Amino acid sequence: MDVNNNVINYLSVRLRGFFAGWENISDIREIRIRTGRPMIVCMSGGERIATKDGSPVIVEKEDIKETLEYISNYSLYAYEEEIKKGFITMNGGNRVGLCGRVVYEAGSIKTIRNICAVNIRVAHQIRGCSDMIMDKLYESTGTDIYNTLIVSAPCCGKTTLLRDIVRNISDGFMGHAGMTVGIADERSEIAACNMGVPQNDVGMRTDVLDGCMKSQGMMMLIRSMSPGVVAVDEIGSDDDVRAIRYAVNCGCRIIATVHATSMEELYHKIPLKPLLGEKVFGRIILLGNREHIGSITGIYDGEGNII
Amino acid sequence: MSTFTKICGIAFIVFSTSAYGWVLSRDLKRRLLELRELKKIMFLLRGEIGYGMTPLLEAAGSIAQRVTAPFNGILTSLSNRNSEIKECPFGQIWEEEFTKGLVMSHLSEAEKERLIALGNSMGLSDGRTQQNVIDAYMQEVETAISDMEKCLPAKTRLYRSLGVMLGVVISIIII
Repeated sequence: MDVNNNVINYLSVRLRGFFAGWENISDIREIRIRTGRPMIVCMSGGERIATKDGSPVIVEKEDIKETLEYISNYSLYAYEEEIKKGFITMNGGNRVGLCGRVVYEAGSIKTIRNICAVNIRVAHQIRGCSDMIMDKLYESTGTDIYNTLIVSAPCCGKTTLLRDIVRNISDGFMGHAGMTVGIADERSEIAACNMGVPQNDVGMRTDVLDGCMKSQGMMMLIRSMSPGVVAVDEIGSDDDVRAIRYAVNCGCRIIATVHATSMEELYHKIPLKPLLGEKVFGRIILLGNREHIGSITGIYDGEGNII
Repeated sequence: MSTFTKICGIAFIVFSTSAYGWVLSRDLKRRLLELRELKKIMFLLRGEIGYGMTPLLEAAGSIAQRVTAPFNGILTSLSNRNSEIKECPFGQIWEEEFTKGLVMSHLSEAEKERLIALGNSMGLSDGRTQQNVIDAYMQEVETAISDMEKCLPAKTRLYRSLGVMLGVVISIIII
């Protein structure tokens, strides 16, 4: 079944009906439903508002309730922890963002009630998007990889590239032996685990610690699964830096991503300064969206020289 | 009419009414057994939700193997509705399966209605609220069991005695 058809089948039966006759279903990137407002479908070419007889389709409260039932497999309680974080990862790695009334208990989020807005984001793993750069990530001996930092502005494909690099390292790339990879997937964005099972292909030698804080997850992985490579998304805190240093000292290689639009901005990020100063990262990949989303602007070595 | 025919007729009437009384008392016992089984189901479901966070349809399949008729059949049918493409809300699935499966049940109509309505409160809340819903229902079932246990011996005797006496009275009237 087409992944987008699959996503449509999670909508309420009434809303599903409005997709009948749509030809470009495979272009759907997001479906946004909000109580009392039109259903908006984000396609690769732009936004489209679902209509019936020329009028926008207005989402009803019952549509949201029914959609949530289908998304949660009739068991919202099974996703309690995920709901606290504001999203549910569905089968297939598709992500459902939720909005409603946040309920606090003892200073932390207990749940989201009266959910009135749902954003279904279609997962799009791009297999092979890292193939062109893999050679530059392996050390000259060919048996090990450089600690690698992927740098880009938001929505430029950092996580997609990280996921594919992990897959290639794990499965082994072009004669290079596969390595054990541990992913500390704090926001379930890399492996998109559903009930603990990765929905994205992250390679056959990859272990995923899902929903765990990056800093804690890295240390837990090293102690429990002895990975050769540890992968994390969006590092930035002092704790993350401490955990990376710990991993490196334990002999693990690191693949990480960070938000920054340029090398200058990267070198100005205070928490990362020690790591960059010590040249922990042997490779820094800068992504941009000048040509297309995820286009590689440059690959640098630890000294900041372009390769 | 010969004496033998009369005796046969009386015996038949007394046997029939006694059997009817016995069936009524047996139904009462079965109702009690079903209520106990219902309590067990709710207890198991509470555990599946509270400790395993198991989705409802999956939990139904697992519980079906540990309970007796008619609930094992109902829960198995319920778990078989766990399809990839979902077409109706859980409350509707629950209602359809329980309405179908409870036809031969010995539960009272009110108990059946309450059980069928329970489906509308399932699966839509967090774990704690869900457990509270089950607890409230279990409390109702426990009360019904306790009431039944208190009156069952007396009612059983009553139905059986009434069955026999009714047969005797009818026989006397006919003679």
